Amino acid sequence: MKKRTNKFKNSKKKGEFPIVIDQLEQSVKDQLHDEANLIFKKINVQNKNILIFYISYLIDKKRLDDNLFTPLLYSETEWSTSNLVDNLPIGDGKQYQTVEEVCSQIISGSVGVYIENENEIVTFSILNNQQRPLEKPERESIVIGPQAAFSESLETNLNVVRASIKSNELVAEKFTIGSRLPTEVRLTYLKSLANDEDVQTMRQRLNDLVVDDIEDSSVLSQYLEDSSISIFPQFYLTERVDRFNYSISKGKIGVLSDGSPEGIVAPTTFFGFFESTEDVYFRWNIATFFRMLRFIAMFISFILTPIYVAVVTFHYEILPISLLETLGQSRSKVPFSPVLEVLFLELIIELLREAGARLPTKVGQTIGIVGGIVLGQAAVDAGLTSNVLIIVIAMSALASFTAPSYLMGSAIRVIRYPLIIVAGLFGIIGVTFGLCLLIIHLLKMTSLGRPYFLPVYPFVFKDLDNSLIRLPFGISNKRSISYRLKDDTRYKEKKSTKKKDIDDLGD
Amino acid sequence: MKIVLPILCMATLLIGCVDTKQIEQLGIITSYGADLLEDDLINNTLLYTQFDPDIKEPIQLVESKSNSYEGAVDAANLKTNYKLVTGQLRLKVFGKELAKQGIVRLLTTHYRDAEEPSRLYVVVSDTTAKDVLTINTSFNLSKFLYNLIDNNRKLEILPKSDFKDFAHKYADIGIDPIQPLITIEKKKPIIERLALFQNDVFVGSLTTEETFLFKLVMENFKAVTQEITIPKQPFEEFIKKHEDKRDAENLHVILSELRSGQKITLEDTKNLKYNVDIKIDANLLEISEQVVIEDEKVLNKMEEQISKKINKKLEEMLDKLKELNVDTIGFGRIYNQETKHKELTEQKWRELYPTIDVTFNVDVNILRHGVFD
Repeated sequence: MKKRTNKFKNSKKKGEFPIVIDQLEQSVKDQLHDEANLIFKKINVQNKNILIFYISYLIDKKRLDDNLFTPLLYSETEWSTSNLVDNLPIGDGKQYQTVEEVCSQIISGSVGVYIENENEIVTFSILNNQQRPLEKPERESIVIGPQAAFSESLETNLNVVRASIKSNELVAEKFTIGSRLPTEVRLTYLKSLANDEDVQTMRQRLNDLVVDDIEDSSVLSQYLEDSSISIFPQFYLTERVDRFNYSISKGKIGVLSDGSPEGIVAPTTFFGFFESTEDVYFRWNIATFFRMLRFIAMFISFILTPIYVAVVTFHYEILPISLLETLGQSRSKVPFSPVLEVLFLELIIELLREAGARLPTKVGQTIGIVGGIVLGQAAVDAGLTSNVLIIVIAMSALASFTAPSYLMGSAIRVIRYPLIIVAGLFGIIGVTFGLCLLIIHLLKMTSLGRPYFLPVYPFVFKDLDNSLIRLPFGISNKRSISYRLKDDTRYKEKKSTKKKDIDDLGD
Repeated sequence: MKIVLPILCMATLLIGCVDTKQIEQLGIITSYGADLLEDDLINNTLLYTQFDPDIKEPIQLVESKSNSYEGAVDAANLKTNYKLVTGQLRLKVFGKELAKQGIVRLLTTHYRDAEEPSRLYVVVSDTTAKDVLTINTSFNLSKFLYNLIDNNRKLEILPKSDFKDFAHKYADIGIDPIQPLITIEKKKPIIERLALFQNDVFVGSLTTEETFLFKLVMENFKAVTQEITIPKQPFEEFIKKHEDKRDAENLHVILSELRSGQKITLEDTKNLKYNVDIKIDANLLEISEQVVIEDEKVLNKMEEQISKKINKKLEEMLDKLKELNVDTIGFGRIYNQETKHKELTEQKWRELYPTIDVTFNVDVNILRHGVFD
């Protein structure tokens, strides 16, 4: 062990070259802790001893044979470090002077080539990147529109982003985050559109982030968010390529990290989490209807069960008399207080959701049906819950799944519980109090320093388009003005309303 | 933390203070009836809804004796295993005898109780409240009585007569309340007449036909159907063939889509001369005889006859009201508005009211005839 560390220290020193091939082999082996698939190949060409080394599972063997070995072995000229880089038919040749640097290249899929008695080692990257192809989005599925989701490879993700934003204005700044396990992170935005201040804020947050490693984009976004205490997500995490690109083309900032199939979009508003890209693909009136539906669903989702609890426990007077009879009859068989009844059934629904998400797809479906139909019916028959409550709970559960963002949907499902409990303790006064706290919290929140509750607070009338409603494209010629983009006009209004006369058609 | 801890403590400790009213533990009173007993106690009849899986009939009846309204609920609580609450009370029925002594003492808590609904009907029973509320029916009696009044009010047959109307007409000087009067016919509650109040004391009643006239003066009709009887004699020449052999004297006319407007003006404050202008637009839907309407003349004649008839009836109704000294229409209120700086007192108006002189000008206009909407 001691011996090895000594060697390790020695190898770190600069200017250890030239070196004997055997010695280099030993020091590379030490650096990479005797990696079993580390392959060394000694060849002799034109009286030069050349050592080629690589990790076999990381590299593309065909390219190794065709582009490296073949030209190397059949060369007529004498090889030196400089003409290796110039003459071999592989791009990306780099020269290093320490074994440590070379090894870090080897583990990311490079081949090291050393000509004995030369001062530098040359590496060529011929990474055989094992990655899954672009697939359909599974977490944020929509019916119409492009169906592509990010994959785990940053290269692929950047590729698809660039492919659809064909503009040299698209900047993809590179950051490396993680002191122990570095991950490549790209900050993407449109230079001519995105607000410089926002870009600078994000850049600074990325620069200042000191952490040993980040597991995923979602982890990164939690590090970058304005408030880590809040239950609400402040950046939109999307796996949809079209959503990411749409946001960037609207002047927002995107962050992609290697190894994660999700892109971060910032800044985002609360209402942005209920927007779906489908709203853009649909006609404006249908899109507006669906968007409204989602807002209502969100409201139903966290208010319906607390209201049920409050009414059944305290405020029988607000019910219409016929509904009162139905509710009273269904409640009369239940041995628990309304709070316990609701919490019990909510727990069943949450268990079903959790089980459905963990189990393999085919089993998950069965569980959903068994749980939804059989359990619900059985619970009513056993007199554990009232049948009105089954409908209420099912409705609020369904409503919570309409949010396009799974993170937001989960947040809404969770904030229901404190509301149910205060409803059970204080009735509608409690619910109102809880809602007030919630609204105060939302009003105070920011996303990348921008108000979270835009455009409702601070109220920006012009921004209601594309946030709460969607106007026809002919009218909505402005981008969001509250984000202070460099250019907030999509097209000139006059030109869009001008009708071409028959005389103009010849032009 | 300094603020959070006390708030948390308070929230935890004060939870016990909130009184829960779990729906299945309540006896929800939907109708209340009060009758006068001989010893001046009040006999209360309460209809309440309870939810018990073992008992099929959710509507239960409980009686109690007390001196006050709140006492009635309290006394009734001893006779039931459910907690009686009044938040869904829709109907208060008062027996005739009790109503004759004044009912407002049983309604005062209602002004202040936020739990009790304001959409509540106050009615008088032709016999006793107990008779009305103990009718043995297969349907929900509370609901039936409430809808009986509510639907007829919406159909513009009954005048505005919910609790709010009663309360403000009672409190205002120069106007008296009018509330439905429930009679029992073939073991079913019906509305045949309307109870007239002098302040809160039941003094007489109006028939439903008079109710129409009363509404003509008080409220605007939007679309109502009304039958009016006029003499047959002036139309004799236009009648083709006598079809109605039953009634040789009169012609029965149905006016539909009747729309009315009214204006009461005080012409002379000294002599109390009132002018009531009533304008009626209506469709002529049906006549009991086959009257040939070929030109405007017939219609004009008909309009004239109807006006005359309504005018006469209005005068009769007013005479009746004057005789009872009940100002249901609210002439006193108009007098009070016109004579500023002179506070009108209850007593003074009761003296003045029988001396008022009212001229009715009814203008009937038949827009179409024979057309169904």
